[in-house]
Amino acid sequence: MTDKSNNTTHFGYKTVESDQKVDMVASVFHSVAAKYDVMNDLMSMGIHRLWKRFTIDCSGVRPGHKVLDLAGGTGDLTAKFSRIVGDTGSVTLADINDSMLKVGRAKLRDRGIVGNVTYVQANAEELPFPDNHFDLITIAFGLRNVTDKDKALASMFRVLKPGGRLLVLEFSKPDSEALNKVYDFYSFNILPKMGELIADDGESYQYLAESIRMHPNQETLKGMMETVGFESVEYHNLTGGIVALHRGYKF
Amino acid sequence: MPIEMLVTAGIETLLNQLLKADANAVDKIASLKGKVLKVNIAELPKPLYFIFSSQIDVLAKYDGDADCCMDIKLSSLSRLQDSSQFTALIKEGELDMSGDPMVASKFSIILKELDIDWEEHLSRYTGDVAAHKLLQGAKSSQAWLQNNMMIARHNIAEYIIEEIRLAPGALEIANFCDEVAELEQQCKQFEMRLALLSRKEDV
Ligand SMILES: C[S@@+](CC[C@H](N)C(=O)[O-])C[C@H]1O[C@@H](n2cnc3c(N)ncnc32)[C@H](O)[C@@H]1O
Repeated sequence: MTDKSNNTTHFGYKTVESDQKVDMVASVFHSVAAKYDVMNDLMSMGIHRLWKRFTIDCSGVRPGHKVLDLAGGTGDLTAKFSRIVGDTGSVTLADINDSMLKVGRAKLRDRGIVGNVTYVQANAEELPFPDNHFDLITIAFGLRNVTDKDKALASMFRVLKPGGRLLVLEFSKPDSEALNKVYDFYSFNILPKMGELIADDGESYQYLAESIRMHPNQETLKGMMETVGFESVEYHNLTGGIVALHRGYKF
Repeated sequence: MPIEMLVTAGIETLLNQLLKADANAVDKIASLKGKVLKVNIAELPKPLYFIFSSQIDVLAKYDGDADCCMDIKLSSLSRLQDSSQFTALIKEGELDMSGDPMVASKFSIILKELDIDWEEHLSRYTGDVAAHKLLQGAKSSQAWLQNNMMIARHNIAEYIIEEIRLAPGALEIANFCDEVAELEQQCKQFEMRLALLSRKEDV
């Protein structure tokens, strides 16, 4: 996405300076953090819970594992991983945004999730963890917000243990033209309206809709994962390709 | 979307909702912490894994080893609530069990405590599974697709209601309802616009 020659990158459909994008993305999530969960349910009509459930089923996670939930936001995946890996395992919830981490931490604490979860403010492009550290990394609805996706994927590859796997859950390209049209209408006309009504923040959701469109499609993302070293990369289209789950291994 | 996600989501929500309301069961589940029980229900395409912690998580796929494994028919599920029936069930060929039997019998006590009508709850999904299988055979059939979508939508709606009920407090819900009402208004307007547009297209 990034055009190296003049250091601009896409912020939704607006083209902005690269180092500005990090700030702009951060402000989007600051402004939606509090109502994020409610919006998630409404926007996806609750289906995001099923997408996440499928992700967990594909994770191969078990007791004792070390898991990184990257761009983990309010911690839906973290909560479940925390219960599965148990006392001998650990989950790291990492997010670039402090407000999201706070909402996540409060929510998980309320649900009695303590002990094996740590919270780290970190940029996916420069993960502050040792090499070969995690058994599993998940990034759900986070990669499309990252400025330099190749750099982020390489960073994930570095901190993953040999034998470990990466799961990327992200909006993608619907596999039928008809669905694509409906989905476009939903994203650009209804979604920002809902954002305005519920979170009083139409602009942020306009950004979300645009960032979904700018995100690489299934095959492109697969290629990007392979380029940084992931092997046996495959993807699953969910809900007609509105969302795709990519999985890759480090051997 | 794999149909199992609806099954596991439904069962998990149901179990934990009942657990929350039952102090006895919560104590009992503590003794199963860290254990994994695999249940193969003959009528379902995938096994169910019950993972015990402060609550119960239900997965359709799990790479680790289960502590105990049971194979059973849907029609015998309700008898699992009585662990003294295990031997009889095994003799009748209705149940197969391997691994740590304590996990199974403790789970059975919890189920009894919660008093769930399994057949009723699962029959909702087995219909779906049958539909799903048929769909795979007749993918191109338009009518089929629509029918299946309707069932799926119905189930998802029901499932969301259950999950949402778990989360927010009364005030939030009231507020949420207001917002939904507003949204509904918007949707109506949208529908009208859509009808208008499609009429234009027809001309
Ligand atoms: C749409 S939320 C997804 C949250 C959660 N994973 C979920 O599925 O509900 C995207 C998250 O990505 C985070 N994020 C954006 N850019 C990031 C970056 N460069 N590094 C780490 N996290 C980032 C945002 O702060 C936000 O919390």
